[in-house]
Amino acid sequence: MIELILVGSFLILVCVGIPIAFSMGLSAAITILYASGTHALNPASGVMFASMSSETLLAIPFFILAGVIMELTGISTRLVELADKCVGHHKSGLALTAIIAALLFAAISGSGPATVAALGAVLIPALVRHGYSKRHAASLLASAGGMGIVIPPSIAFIVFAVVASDHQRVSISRLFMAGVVPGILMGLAFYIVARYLPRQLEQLTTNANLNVSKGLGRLGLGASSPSAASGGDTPNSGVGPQSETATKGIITLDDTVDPDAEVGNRSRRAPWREILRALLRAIPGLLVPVIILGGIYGGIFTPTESAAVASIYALLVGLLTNRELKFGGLWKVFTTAGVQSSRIMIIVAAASLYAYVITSNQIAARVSDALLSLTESTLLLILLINLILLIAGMFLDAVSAFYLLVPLLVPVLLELGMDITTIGVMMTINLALGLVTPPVGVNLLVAGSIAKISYAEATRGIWPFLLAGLVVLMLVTFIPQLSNGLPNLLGA
Amino acid sequence: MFDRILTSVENTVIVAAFATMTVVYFANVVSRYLLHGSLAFTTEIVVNLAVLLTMVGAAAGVRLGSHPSFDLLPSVSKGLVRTILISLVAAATLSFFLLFLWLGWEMTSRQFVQGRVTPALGVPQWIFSMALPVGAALGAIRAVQAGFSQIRMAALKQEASV
Amino acid sequence: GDGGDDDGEESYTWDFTVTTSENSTWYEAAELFADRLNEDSDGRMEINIHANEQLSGGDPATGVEQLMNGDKAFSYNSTIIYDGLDSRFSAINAPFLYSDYEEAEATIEASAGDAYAELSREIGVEMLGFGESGFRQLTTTDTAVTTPEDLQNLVVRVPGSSLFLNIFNELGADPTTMNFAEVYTSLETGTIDGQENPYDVIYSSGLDEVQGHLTVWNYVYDPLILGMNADLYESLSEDDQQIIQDAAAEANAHQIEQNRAREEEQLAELSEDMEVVELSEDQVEEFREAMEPVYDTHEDDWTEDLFEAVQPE
Ligand code: NA
Ligand code: NA
Repeated sequence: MIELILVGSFLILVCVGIPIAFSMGLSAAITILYASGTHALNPASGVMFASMSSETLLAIPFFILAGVIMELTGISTRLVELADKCVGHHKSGLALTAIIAALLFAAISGSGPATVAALGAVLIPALVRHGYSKRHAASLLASAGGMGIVIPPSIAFIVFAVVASDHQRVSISRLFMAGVVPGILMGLAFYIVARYLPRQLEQLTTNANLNVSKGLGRLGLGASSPSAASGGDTPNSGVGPQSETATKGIITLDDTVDPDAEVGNRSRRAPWREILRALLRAIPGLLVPVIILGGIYGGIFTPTESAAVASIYALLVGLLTNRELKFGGLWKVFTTAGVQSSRIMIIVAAASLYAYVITSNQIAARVSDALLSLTESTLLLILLINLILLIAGMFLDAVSAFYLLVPLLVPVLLELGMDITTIGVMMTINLALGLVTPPVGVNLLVAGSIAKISYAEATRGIWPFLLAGLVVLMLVTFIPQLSNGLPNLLGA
Repeated sequence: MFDRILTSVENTVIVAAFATMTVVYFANVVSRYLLHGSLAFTTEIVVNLAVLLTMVGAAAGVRLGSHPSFDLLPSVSKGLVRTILISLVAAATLSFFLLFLWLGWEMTSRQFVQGRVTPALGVPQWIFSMALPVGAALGAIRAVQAGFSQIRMAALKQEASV
Repeated sequence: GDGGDDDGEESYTWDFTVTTSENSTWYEAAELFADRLNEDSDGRMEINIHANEQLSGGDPATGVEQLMNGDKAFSYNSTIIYDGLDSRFSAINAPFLYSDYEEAEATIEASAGDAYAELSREIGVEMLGFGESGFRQLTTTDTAVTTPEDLQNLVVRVPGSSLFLNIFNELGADPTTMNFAEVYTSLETGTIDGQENPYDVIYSSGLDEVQGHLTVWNYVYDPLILGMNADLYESLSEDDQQIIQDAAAEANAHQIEQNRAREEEQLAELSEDMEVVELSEDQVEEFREAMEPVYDTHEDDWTEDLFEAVQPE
């Protein structure tokens, strides 16, 4: 009965359109009231305070800050340019450019939709010019953006490590390393799909400077107002997960979309001089993963510290390379990143209260017993759990899904003999695919609005990519070496 | 006027807290290698500021309508149904913040009486805990504002389309 | 929550949290306590045990606050955690207070136990006796620590308590209060150079895999308070109180016995992977002198009466 109230009230609140964070907090509170009365609500504030003041989770605001600054300084465009100069001349070179640029950007950013917004504005129109249908161009970028949470750094892995530590300790550094090979595999799978997609010329009606926010607003799925970053005061109708990118699109300063960055217009390899020039321009961005991963594995920083160092580094790069990033720009950077990270951290806070209800009422034990009693077959159970995760990913972001499902599913998976590293990567890939599955597919929504197609049309193009992603998911699920190989090699 | 003051207070707190966190935490890394200063003090400041940032940022998120949600129903509905749904969202948001205004206040006053201090700085814990009720109060105000302004906008849109 | 029973006697379901994992002696003792209560009360008293401070998101200080406020019924928490809420509690953790377990036990028996029971009642906790986390030892990555000079500028992780921060500051180290969940990785990557804990924590967290040196210096005695919310305790009948006292005594005795028995095996296993140095009397004396200023800083906090009560005979 308690389970029913906890899950049922959450689903009802979410479906009415109440933000996920508040739905979680309220359904947890309702369940506590039902199960034990008003006095049992007392621990709620302490539980939430503890989760918001965790040093480990402090990495989240810092990684978001670094991402916002780097977006602002045009690093994404330079990565596209570099990838294009290197592989753009190949057959299907543009698709490869998109994948490589996404891999590079994923190594900077911890967020999926951010990757889509940053790269899509340049790449989607270029792909369409090269004969890809709009829905396939949008889907390619949307799926490539999903790699953002599998390739380190990744907010999803940080949250997984924190929530899973109740069951088995796993370090963030290890999970970060474990995501590299599966992330590259995802990129490879998406590239193979893109290679065999049908191509024909279609009329292009969009351009690189499309206003993302406007596109979203038109879809009726809501977006924050242009005052988001400047701290204006007009609350907008509609509340949606895609607002992160909408806000992002707006803070971009004028010179970040490089007019030279038009890609995919070459049939021969670019001259070495040009490649070198592109490389030099991309170096500030390419150094970020070096600083973050090198810092963590070189024993210089904790993951949280690496995020703070990356922020300061990005700020310095920004101040040196972007003359407009003066005081006003900095103000925008901090308000934008501040609101973005609060949005995630308030989910963390409310979700830990939700997890508290699961724990204090021994719900996890009952659910795992029920799951384990369903069938003797380990294979079926693992497939079933993947299905549960995929369904959760259709509706929820990774942070909420982890708080909800890790306490319930990780004990079962451990019982079935899976190792915690593989579990973490498997769950994260599931939720990365969730970024492109309807009804709530944030990446797809952003990509679709850049391509100026309806959300429904965009979802029609996603199936081949989703299938490719599922293949990788199965490989990762059943071949633990894919996740464990690299961290074991590096002793992480 | 009230709204603009509130907005600039929000933004100032967000920028001040976040910038301080970033600089102090970065200095923490530097100090470990160069200055051998006390890491414990700085960490304590940063994690407690993170709570303030989250609470005030969440209130600002309500103002900007940027909290992730599954808003299929509100976006396809029209007229009275839409007004009701918007009111429900606003009411739920308000209840969330009022609940944590109350619980946060209870926790803060308990700590005030019990006299818990932070280990490194020796600062009374209730000062940091104030972030909870203060942020929740801001969020409650924003929930009411957002509710009214969205109902107004929905009505305007309806008029325009008739 | 609690509710009525057919016989008119109250029946109860209570939460019990421990800081450590399911494999710890703390958890084992909590299980014994739960079994005994259940048996002696004919099933009227039921206990849900939660490892890893699960009810407070892994944060032990918040966990003790919950106990004080009556948000849960029982917990095993170190006095070092209580110190984060009330600085008197670390009196018994004063450096080099006891030379061995016998001395600690005798003092607790004679005076410290009663003093802590009274102290706990002041913050709303009924102390049902002491368990034991044991003497705390030091592990380091590259440096063998035998003198205070060896600790110069080493980054050492300590619990979130001003006493421990002060001790390591006095020794010339850089103490930091990192979340324990990050300690293993940080030791491995070299972000921190050392940490201090009783054998059980060192052993069960596998720190010997990432630490080269173990300094056995028995510098802090670390007792565990088996605490119950005081209002709840007062609300029970005398018979029920007795049932709880008896179960607690049994659980504590079992936990202490297990902890000491395991220590020997654990030290033996740890010394296979680590260089173990047991400090001599003279070496200990040097550390004791270096930590002397800590007494001046904290004596006022501890209060005269309490400080008196924890002194060995
Ligand atoms: Na990433
Ligand atoms: Na989805």
